[in-house]
Amino acid sequence: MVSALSEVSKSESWSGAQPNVRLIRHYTQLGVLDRPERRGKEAYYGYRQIVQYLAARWLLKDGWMLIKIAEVTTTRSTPELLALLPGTPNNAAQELIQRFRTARPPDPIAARQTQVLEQRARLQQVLPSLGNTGGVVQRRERVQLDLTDWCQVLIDTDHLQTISPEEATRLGDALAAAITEASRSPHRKNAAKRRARLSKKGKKK
Amino acid sequence: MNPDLILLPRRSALLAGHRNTLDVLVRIQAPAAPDRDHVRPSLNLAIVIDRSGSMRGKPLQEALRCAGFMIDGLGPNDRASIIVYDNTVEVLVPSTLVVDRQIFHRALRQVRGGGSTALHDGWLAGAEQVSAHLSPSTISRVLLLSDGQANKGLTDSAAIAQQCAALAEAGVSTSTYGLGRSFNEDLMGEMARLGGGNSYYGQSAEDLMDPFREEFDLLSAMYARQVSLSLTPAAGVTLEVLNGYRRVGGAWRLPDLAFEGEAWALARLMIPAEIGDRPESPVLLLASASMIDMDGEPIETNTARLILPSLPAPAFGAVTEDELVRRRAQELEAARYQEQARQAALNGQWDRVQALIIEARSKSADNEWIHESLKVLEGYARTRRTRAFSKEAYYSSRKMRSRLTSQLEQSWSDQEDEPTFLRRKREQGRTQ
Repeated sequence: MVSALSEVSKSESWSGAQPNVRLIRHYTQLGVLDRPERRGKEAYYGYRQIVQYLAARWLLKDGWMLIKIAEVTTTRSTPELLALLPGTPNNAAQELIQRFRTARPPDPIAARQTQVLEQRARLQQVLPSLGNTGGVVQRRERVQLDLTDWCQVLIDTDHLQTISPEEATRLGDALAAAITEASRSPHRKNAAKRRARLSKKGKKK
Repeated sequence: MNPDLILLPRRSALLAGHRNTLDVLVRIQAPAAPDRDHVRPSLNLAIVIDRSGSMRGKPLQEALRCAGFMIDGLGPNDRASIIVYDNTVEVLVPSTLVVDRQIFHRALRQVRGGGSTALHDGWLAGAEQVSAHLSPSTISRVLLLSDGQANKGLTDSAAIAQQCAALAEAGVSTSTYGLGRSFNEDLMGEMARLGGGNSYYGQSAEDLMDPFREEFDLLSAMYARQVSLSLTPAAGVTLEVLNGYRRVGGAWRLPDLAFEGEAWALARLMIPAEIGDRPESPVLLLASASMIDMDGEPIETNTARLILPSLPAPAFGAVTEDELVRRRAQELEAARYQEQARQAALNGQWDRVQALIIEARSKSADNEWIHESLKVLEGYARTRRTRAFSKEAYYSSRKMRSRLTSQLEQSWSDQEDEPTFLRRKREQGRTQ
């Protein structure tokens, strides 16, 4: 860190006296700098501590007491500390970078929630015009019983769990009556005629 | 000395009485070589290295060696910073003048691998370091190296590339280095294309140094950047630039120009019959280019005019095609075939890949560079190596579309004396 700071001090004259190990230790003890990472006997200072040091030197030059400086350097984020430092005035590139940093990627859960709420609002508007005065889509699960390839029976799933044998028999009677009735309807006769016509055409060919 | 702009038509005449389609090579030429007192422009670089788990071992060692190589090429007038990223980003050396290289080398020696790939955060941290020291007379660039997919933070490729474009306009360009088989070439390529830098890749750690050397040579020989080409066709003439350069404010943005180099575009003109039949030959195309020199000053080329006579069929038949224009058109066509073959390979349509390679070869039988490049692709296709095929096809087509060329281009097999950044490689991802 000392060598990195020496380099910065050469190019940034305002940062004052050449840093040395004693000064860095002193600042660390006063809480101006975050404590370094320890690896065995060695202490590693990183980018944040370099920025803290530079901010401290700048504030010191401005007449601040070290104890007050420590409150600033330890409570503010690194970009906030950087903003304290003099240097190249904020340029277009720096403004863009700040904007990119603050524009976080969209939260997929929040986006999904918004989508669901929007869809619900749309349904509440449209359904009454289709005769659903409640404006709510009722969801019902059905079990489909394929009696043959051409005949299926749909039964409410919940009701199927509780249906009694007597009820099933009555349903069978009702089903038989309904089928007999439907087979005599005009729709049924028209369908029979269509089938006959198609059959004749097939024979001519 | 200002750069020259030359217009070179594929044929130097129009066929009278007919609608003509004419390819015109637009050549923007930098001065031949810097004089002896030429001082390389100052560089302001951020070297951003992926240290995610997949980089552990040789790839990371080699990446760090390449970073060390770049640092060794810099001097006290240059600035550099070193950033490493995995889940998090760490600025190892903040932007500083390269007075003592040992600061950088010591920092590089500390790097260890681990974690996932917060590529966008790493790039942004590099851009932040560079942006604090922008100067018109300095090349400010982020060099981003990764072997993986962006999987943490912002991962949307289009959004990241758009940010690169915005920063390039604000003075911070981006070059990218993909390593291995797993990186996202679409993302890395677009970041560099829109970011105003160069994109490279290495198949293995051993192949990384070559592109770093190429970029360093290019930066050292830089003559001008932000090269904008303006083309104005005659009324009624329609125009298409075949290279796929992006448009910025009505002009086409060409690659940065180095000494001895030539940035080029191939414009296809569709000329209606009535224009060719006028008694006086009209100006078919006006072309000029502007750019920023290394002192940050704007410079302009001459304005070139294309005027061609209209000839009757027998005389027109005797006009031969220009060899250079024909070759560049071939290369652009080969680039299109390579892009199509890449898509087919990604869809697993290997028969189509083979058919496209054969067709591309038949259309450029006399172009040794294309021929050799197709041979490489054919090898990957034969062994069904989708990722290797995709990456090589991507970078090869990009190179053929938008490379900086030599002004006096030698044959493919005779280019040893040319600067590294002007050479045509047989295989983009391999050291040659």
